[in-house]
Amino acid sequence: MIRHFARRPMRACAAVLLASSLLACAPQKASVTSSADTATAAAPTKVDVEPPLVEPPPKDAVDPGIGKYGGTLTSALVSDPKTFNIVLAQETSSTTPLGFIFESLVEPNYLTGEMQPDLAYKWTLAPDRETYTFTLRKGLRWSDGAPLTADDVAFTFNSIIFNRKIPTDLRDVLEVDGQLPTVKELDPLHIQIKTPKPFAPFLRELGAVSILPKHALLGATKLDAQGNPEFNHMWGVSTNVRKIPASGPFAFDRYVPAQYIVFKRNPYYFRVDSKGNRLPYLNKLVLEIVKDQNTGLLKFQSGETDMLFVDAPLRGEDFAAMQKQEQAGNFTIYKAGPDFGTFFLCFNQNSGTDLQGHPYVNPVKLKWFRDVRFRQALAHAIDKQSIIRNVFQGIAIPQIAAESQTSPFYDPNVPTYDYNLTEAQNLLAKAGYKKDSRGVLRDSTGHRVAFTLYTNSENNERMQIAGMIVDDLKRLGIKVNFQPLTFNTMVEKTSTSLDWDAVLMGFTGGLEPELGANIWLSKGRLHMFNQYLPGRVKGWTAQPWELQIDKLFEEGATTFDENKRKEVYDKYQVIAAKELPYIYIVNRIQLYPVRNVFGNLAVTPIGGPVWNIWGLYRTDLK
Amino acid sequence: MLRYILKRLLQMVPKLILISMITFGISKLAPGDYLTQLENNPTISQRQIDAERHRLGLDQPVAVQYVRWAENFATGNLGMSFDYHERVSALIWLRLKATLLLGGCAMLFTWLISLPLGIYMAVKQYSWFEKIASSITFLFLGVPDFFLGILLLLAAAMANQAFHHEVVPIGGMTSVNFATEGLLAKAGDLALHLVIPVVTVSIGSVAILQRRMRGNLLDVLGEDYVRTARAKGLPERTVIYRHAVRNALNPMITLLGFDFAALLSGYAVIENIVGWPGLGQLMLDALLRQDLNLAMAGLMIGALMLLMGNLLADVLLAFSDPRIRLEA
Amino acid sequence: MATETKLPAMERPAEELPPPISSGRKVWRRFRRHKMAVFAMWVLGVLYSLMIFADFFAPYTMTSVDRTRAYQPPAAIHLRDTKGHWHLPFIYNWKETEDLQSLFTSTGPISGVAIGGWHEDKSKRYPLHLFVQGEPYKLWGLIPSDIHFIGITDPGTRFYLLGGDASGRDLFSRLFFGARVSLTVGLVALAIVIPVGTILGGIAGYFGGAVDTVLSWIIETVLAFPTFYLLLALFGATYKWSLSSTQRFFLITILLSFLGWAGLARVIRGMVLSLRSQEYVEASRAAGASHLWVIIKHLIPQTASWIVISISLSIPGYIYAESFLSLLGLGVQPPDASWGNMLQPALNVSDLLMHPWMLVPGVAIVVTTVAWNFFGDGLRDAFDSKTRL
Repeated sequence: MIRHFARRPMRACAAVLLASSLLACAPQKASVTSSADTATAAAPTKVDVEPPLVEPPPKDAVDPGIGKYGGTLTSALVSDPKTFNIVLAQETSSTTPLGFIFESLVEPNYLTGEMQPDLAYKWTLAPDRETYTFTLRKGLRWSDGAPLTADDVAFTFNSIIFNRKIPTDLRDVLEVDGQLPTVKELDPLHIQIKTPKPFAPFLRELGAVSILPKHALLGATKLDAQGNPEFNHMWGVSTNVRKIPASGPFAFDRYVPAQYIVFKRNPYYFRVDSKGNRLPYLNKLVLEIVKDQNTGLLKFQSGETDMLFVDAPLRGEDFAAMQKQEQAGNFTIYKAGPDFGTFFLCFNQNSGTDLQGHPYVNPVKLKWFRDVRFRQALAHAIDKQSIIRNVFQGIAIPQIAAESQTSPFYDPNVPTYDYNLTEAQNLLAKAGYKKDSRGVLRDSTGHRVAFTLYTNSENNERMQIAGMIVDDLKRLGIKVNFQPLTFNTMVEKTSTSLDWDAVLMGFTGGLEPELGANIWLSKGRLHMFNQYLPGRVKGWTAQPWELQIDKLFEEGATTFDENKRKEVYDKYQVIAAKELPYIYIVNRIQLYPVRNVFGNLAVTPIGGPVWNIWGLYRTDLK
Repeated sequence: MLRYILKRLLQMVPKLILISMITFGISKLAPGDYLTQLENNPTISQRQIDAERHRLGLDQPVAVQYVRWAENFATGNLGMSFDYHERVSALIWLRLKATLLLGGCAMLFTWLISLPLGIYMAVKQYSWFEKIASSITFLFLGVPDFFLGILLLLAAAMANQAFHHEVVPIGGMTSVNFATEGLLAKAGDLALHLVIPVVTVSIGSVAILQRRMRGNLLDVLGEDYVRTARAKGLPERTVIYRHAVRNALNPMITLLGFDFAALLSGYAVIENIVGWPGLGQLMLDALLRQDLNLAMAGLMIGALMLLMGNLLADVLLAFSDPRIRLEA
Repeated sequence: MATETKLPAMERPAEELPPPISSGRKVWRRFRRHKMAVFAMWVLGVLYSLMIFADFFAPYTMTSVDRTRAYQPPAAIHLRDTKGHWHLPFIYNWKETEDLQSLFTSTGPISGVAIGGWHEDKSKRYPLHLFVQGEPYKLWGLIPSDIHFIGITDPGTRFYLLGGDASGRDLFSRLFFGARVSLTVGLVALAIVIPVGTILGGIAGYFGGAVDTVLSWIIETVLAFPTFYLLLALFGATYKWSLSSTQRFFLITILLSFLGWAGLARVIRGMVLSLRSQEYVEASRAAGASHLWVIIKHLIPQTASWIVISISLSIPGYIYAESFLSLLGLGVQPPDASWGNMLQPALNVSDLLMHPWMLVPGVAIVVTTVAWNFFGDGLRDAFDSKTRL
């Protein structure tokens, strides 16, 4: 029941859902005529933003063209938002609806993942590789009519995000070596941001910061009776949502807790179509809040919603039933490629002892876990295809590299491990393991190979995968004691008490490899398989390949050329795949069912179905 | 009477304190705390987690945390929810309406069905109707509410799929265009959303209450004064409805007190199963995510309502039965 | 008060005086008059013996898996083959209609049909046998055997009478093993509740005064605990320790009984309180009998019939509580079976539309609960000379 959420990457996803595209190469469709009457009726006549963001219809879209104004898009949200304060928001149920409301300086491209203009239409990086200067569009307005200027940008960073009394991980993301960048308002249209040292991922990480309306947050930095800034309890779920000004395509209209959120069109949105009509086309956006995926599915099946969810794809187990209804229900299931979530099996390779000198991992077991041939043999013995089939009903693919397939940094050429028991047995034999007469695997010193596997019981998929891994490894003669734990217990074991053999879990990834630095740097906070805990672990050592990865991450963070960066991160993915600290299992494939009534629909792996919600229009309007 | 109530209210205080200490202690027994969930997030720094733990006071010893919480609670400050960054009282207020509506409708439904049914079944004892109805009630007594909820949702889903449109809503309390509808349409919309939750939570109580009512009435019908009334030649109708039913109803009134206890927290988990947007989902989540202030508020409301319900039951009993004197 | 009433702790039995003692034969004669109760007794008898010999009656063991048979539909038992010939009961193999391997090989739009379609492969008959040799097991962990009551000998298919579950295990077999948890949880819990409840309630009622005040206060407080939330919190706490599923099961029952004793104690206290002042008890005391003697000789027998009734009527409450917790994923964890956790997939209503046989564990819960209710009701009538159904 507890959602395992990784905060920042999801935020990235949510921001990406709204990613814009500047496909300069896309041909403009002159043949499609816009219905001028409806356009003038619904949209303000004059577009006063300079320059407006011109959006040609996306390539490969359904019914691409100039849309008609009006209509509503109804979809569902898998759980209730917890706050409308985007700086404090942590889970997709909060960040997704807010993604329709707020924009950033820059944003990732929905197709390539590269950074492109948003509120700022251009930027420069000085030769010191530390100083960025952003130029905002002229005439930007919040949905309440107030101007959006560099003052808002400076306020967002200096008063809110860099305020240490406000709990937000955005600060962590922007920090370079523990130091914050400096943000300076040069004039109402220009902003200068200086990082403490050259940091290549910085621009992408700026994309996660939504610019806040200063005029609506007056008094936010005042301290309350407990000494916390008022901001910490502003814009909670009991706020009148109409008072939250929007810079995105939609503004809040109504929120009924646990039932629905209604959005109305933002009349001052800065994006226009290729004819210069102000976007969005849709008049209203309705998100019904459902208690779980099942209810959402039933709502879609009964025709209540046009799109299954805005914050989650269709589950594999529901695909078969849904596919049968495509025609009768007048919808199409779009496939959008693998998602960012991972499932992996990880062994504790910590050679350290506690302060009394007791080893955290039994030395016999440590020898197995640190043996790369052991890990490789196990990777060969896990039958990913039947996991895909049984747990994901076929809607998944094997994961091979450490970076997600959807990421621009994904390296498809890493060593892979197909399901091959002979190969697994060969590797084990080479490493000195033998099966005895009763089929029990023993190491070279005669110890029986057996270990405990933990996973968290709240996650059904992990529970099922763990069960299958136990069966698979039985074939090698390995005894796995499978032990489900609560999520919190599992985390305590892997991060503090370190008394674990193996875990099955997952992290949510993102477009930017640097987001995984905490996992991969040998002294990182989540370097789980060999946790560095000063003051608790004595005699901790990093293996040579771990140090190699450290170097590559350092190099990647200071390489500004994207192609060269990719080469650097390719190298780390090869090492990761060879050494297998994480034996990756599968990636889910994202499927999005959408009713056949939207033009300009272009479902993408990064952005899902609503990244270009400003361009969607209903084809069934009279 | 007033003194009695006052005394009972005062007696509640130590009970509530003990309950709060135990529940607080138990909720602290669970491994980790609210922030443990953040620890597995690669983008958050340890510094941030430590600062937040300090800010929320979760780095203090349990006793200190309890005293802090209790001080606030005693002064009516339920504190902030960690998860929502919002006052707990505001969160509860947002969901209260839905929970009260469900509780109230369930109570109404239960009493309106079970009393007449119980009376009718007592009057028509040994008839075919009574035998069949009695078996059906027994069956409903045995169907767990969560299972009934699943069955009703399934039936609704089948109907919706057959008609390709939402005949019976699944989950939720109102439709999206509720706010712009007329009064009649609003009532209809609400009623439609209430069907599954109300039936799910009250069928069991209908069965119990109906059996009690029937039993009471049968007892009364066997009493001497009823026999006397009959012997006097009063019409059967008058005997039953004017004399017997009235006396049989009296002990039922005390049960209202227990219904009251269930009003706010009695249906929490069923709310989750049928998707009713009340306090249940909020509290269950809070408990599982160790959102301390919110969870404690929920637990204390539950305990308080139970105690108040007991008191109410006793007071009602005293009202309905003049033989009972409440000792102060 | 649906949720709360059914949890044992919240039960508030009417405070009645104990029924007069009846002789065993009289009780039995009265019980037999209650047809439904007798029928219920038989049903329970069958259920409990099936549970005891689960390993034998179940065609497969609890964790026996065939991954390719996830959500295989229930077996259709045939007597006639395709040519119209008659045979002893037999089944056909279920085959999946489409393979979805081809589904995601290309990057284009989705093609092909997903799994979920099944058809019977009529080319080969698989006759059903009684007392068939199958997977080995140890009855009650002691007697090794591999004889199953019913099954097929041919390894070419599997006999899933009620269909397969999400992992490809036999739902029918797991129903037997799930019964071991669901049917015994109440009995085990009562083994704790009854001694504790009777003794504490008895002490409070018998001695009265300060003892009574303190004990009553404790009882009242325990009754005011928000039971369900408390259980949730306690479960979180138990995950600190690595427990086997048996240990966890006992933990669940202990927790349930911790909350259940107060309700019983309250009633016993009331009964003892009124009995104590009756003449023969006072006479016995006056004649110099010790407290213990009075309690054992006079008071406990008086309350015994009430306890018997209360056992049979409160067991459904424990069955309910266990299945509810397991349903929410907080009780018995898969791969171990309990009716509650077997019902978990049924929470997915859209899935249920495709695999309605996942409702079966719920039906089992209903049957057991109704049977216990009828049985308990019959007992009450039998003990109570004043007939009252």
